[in-house]
Amino acid sequence: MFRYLVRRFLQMILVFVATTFIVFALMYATGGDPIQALAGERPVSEQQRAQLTKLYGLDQPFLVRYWNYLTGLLRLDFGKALNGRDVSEIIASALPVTAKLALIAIITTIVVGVVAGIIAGVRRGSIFDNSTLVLTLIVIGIPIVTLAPLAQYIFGIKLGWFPATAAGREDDIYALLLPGIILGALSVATAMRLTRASFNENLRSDYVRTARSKGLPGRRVIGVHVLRNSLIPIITFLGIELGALMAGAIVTESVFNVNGIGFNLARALRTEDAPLVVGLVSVLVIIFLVANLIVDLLYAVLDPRIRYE
Amino acid sequence: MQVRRLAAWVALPLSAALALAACGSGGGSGSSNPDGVISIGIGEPQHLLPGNTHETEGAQVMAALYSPLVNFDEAGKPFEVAAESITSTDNKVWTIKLKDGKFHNGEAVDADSFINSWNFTAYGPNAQDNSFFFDKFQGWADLNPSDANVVPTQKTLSGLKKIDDKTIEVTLSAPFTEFRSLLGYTAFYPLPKAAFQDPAATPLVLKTDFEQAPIGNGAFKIKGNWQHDQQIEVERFADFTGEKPKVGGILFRIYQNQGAQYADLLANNLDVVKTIPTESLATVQGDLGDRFRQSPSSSFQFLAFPTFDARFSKPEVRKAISMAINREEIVQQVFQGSQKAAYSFVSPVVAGYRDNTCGVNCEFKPAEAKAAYQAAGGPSSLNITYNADGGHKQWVDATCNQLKANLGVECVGTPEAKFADLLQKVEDKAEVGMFRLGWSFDYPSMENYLGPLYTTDGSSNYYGYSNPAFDTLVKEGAAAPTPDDSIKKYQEAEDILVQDMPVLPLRFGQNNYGFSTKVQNVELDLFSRVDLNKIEAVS
Repeated sequence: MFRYLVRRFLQMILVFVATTFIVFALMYATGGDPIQALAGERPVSEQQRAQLTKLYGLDQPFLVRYWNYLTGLLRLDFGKALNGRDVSEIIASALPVTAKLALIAIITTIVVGVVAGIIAGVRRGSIFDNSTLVLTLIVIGIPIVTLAPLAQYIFGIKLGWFPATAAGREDDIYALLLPGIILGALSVATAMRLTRASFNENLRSDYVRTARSKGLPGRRVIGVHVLRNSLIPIITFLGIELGALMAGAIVTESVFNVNGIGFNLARALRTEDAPLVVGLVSVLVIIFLVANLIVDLLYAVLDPRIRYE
Repeated sequence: MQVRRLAAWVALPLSAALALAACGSGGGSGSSNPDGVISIGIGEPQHLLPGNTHETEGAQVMAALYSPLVNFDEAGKPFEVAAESITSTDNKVWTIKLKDGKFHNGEAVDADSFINSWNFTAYGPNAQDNSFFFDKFQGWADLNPSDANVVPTQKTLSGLKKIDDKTIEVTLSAPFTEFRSLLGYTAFYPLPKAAFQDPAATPLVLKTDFEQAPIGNGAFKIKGNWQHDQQIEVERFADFTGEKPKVGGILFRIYQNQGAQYADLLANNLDVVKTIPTESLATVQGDLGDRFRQSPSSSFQFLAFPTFDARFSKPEVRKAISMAINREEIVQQVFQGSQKAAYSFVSPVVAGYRDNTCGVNCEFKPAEAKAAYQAAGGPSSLNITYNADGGHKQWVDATCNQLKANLGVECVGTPEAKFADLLQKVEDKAEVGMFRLGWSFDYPSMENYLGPLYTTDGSSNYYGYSNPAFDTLVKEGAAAPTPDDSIKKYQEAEDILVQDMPVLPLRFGQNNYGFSTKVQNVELDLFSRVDLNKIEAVS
C-alpha cells in the first residue's frame, strides 16, 4: 500500500508538471498582447508597457518564466493576476465557495440519483422505474444554459423561494442552494442510470442467489451485498464528477454570479489574464489528481479482491 | 422534438406572467428616506485610485468617495465643486482656488493634496492609466521620456506650483481654453498625505494597500475594505462640506455579468442596474415599465476609411457609401433601440453639439447613392474589418447586406481576433477595407471628439486623415479667448469633416438603465455614472 502511494505520488508530480507546462505554453504562446488586453481599445503608453512588462516578467525567455512560476508554486506563490491581485488570494476566496457548491451538487446527486437508481433497480419495470426514466431523459435533454436561467427565473424571481443570484452572499448556504441543486441535477440522471444498471446486473449474480438461498433477509442482501458491489462504478463516476464540479461549473456560476473557480476562470479567459488562468488550472489539476487517487483507494475498501502493491 | 415542444409550453406562461407584471409597476414618487441605504450593481473595478481608474465601474465608486474640482450641468458645461474658482488671463497659466474640505481621515484638503496626487499620476514609471490626462501640463514630457526604460530626470511636473495652502497655479504647455472641463474626471481627484509612504519624498510612493480602503474627500467614506468580487460599501461622511447626498449609504454590489444583475433587479435584491443586457431589452418595458430609462452616453461608433487605400480616396465614394446605409434600421433591428443613429461627428452629450451636421451625406437615399457611387467609380467589392471579441459581427454583417442591396456591390465582414490585431493590420497598411472604431470622451469637450481622431498627429487617428485647415481650426479652438469662441471654431472644424467624410458616423451610445421601486430620481451623468447627489431611497 505504501509503495503504491509513493508511486502514485511520483506520477502525480509528473502529470502536474506536464499539464501546467502545456497550459503555461498555450496561454503565453497564443500571440495575444496581455498588456493591450488589459487596456481594452485604448492605446497603451510606452511607459505603461515598460512597467508592466517588467512587473510580469514578460521580457524574460519562456523557459525562465516557467521555471520561476514552478519555483514560486513551491512557496505557494501563484504570482499576480493582471488586475494586480495575488492569484493565491483569488483562489483562497473562490475555492471554498466552489467546494460548497460542489458539495451541494454531489449530495443532490447521491440523494436523488443514487437512491432513485436503487429503487428503480430493485423494482425493475415498475411505474417508478419508467417514470424516472422519462424524467431523467427530459433533464438530460435540457442544456444547462436553458435550465439555469429558467430555474433562476421561476424559483428566484417569480416565486422568490431562493435568492436570484449569490452575488455578495457567498457565505450564505441558502444562496448557493439553487445553483447547487441545478448543478447536481445534471448528474442525477447519469447517476441514476448507472446505479440502476449496476444493481440489475448484480441482482442476477451467483452470490446473490447463494445469499438468498442461505435464507438471508432481502434487506440485508440488497443493503449490504448488492449495494457494496454495485457502488464501484458509481464511486468512479462521482469521483470524476466531483473533480469536474470543482473545475467550475462555468455556466451555472455565471448565471447565478457565484464567485467560485468557474466564475473566475471564465473572467480570466475573457480578459486574457494568463497568470490567473495558469494559477486556477494548476489548482484544478491538483484537485483532479487527488480526486482520482481517492477513487482508486476507495476501490480497495469496497472490493476486497482489489489490492494495491 | 419532445424537448422543444416542452420549452414552448414553458415559454408561453412566462410571457403571460411578464405581461401581467407590467400592469402592476408604476414609478410613482414616494417619500424620500434620507438614511436609506441603496444598492448599485457594478463590475469588479480594476483600480480604485485617482490616477489609475479609467473605467466606469471604478469611476462609479470613486464618484462616491471623492469630490471633483468641477462637475457638469445639463448642457455639459463645467461648474466648480471642490474648487472655489478656476481662472486664467491667457488660458495658459491657470489659478485654482480651493474650498475648505476634509478627507475622511480628518486631514484638510489643501493645495498639496492635489499637487501630490497629480505628480504621482503623471510620473511615467508609476505607469498610471490616467497619466495622459496631464499631457497638456508643462513638464509632462520630462516625466515621460520617449524611451520608457530611462528613468526620468524630473520627478514632478514643472507646471504645478503651490501659491499658498488653498491656491494652485497650473502652467500648460500651450493655451487650452476648456481647461476647466478637463478637471472633472477621476484623474484630477486629490490624495491625502496618508496615501503615501512619505508625503515629502520625490518621487512619491503609494502605500501598497491604499486602494483596498481609499481615503477620499467625497460625500461618502468607505466602510471596511474593498471586498473583491463581492461588494464595496460606503456610508455618508458626516464632515463633508459640499452638497449633501440624499441617501445614508450605498452598497456597490459586484457582479460578473449583467444578466445576473438584471435577475437581482427583477427579484428586488438590487436597486440600480446601469446596463440592461441586450437580450433583455425586448422584455424590459414589460418588466420595469417606466423604471427603465435611456439617456445619451459619450460613446460614438463609426466606420473609418484608411487613406492608404486608393479605392476610397474620392470623397464622393465615401459619401455614396454613407448614403447607402440605413442607420435607423440597424439601430432598431440589431440593437433593439439601445443605441441611437448618429448624424453628427460629436456626441450629443458635449456642449456645442449640433443635430444632423452630417446632413444629406448621412441620409438614407439608396437610389442617389447608387448613382453617385457608379459615377465616382467606387470599388465593386467592399469589406469591413472588425474585432471579433466585441460583439460587432451582427451589425457589420447587417451593414454589409445593406451595401450589397443598395449599391449592388459585393461586401463581406472580415473579423480580426482582437482589436489590437485590427490596429496592427491598419498600421501595416494591409488590405482591411473599411474598419470599425469606437470612441468615448476623456473629458466632455468637442475638442476631445476632434483632436485625437482627425488632426494629423492625433493619438487615435489610425486612418491617417490629414487636412491642414482642420488642424488649424482645432488649434485655434483650443486657444480661443472663451469656451464659447472655442466651440465656434470646433463647429467650423466639424463642418470640414462633413465635406471630407474621413469616417462614417454610425451610432451614438445610450445608457440603458433600470431601477427598483425602492429608489427614485435615478439619473446617469456624462460619464455614465449614477448621479449620487440626486438619487433617493424611497421609504
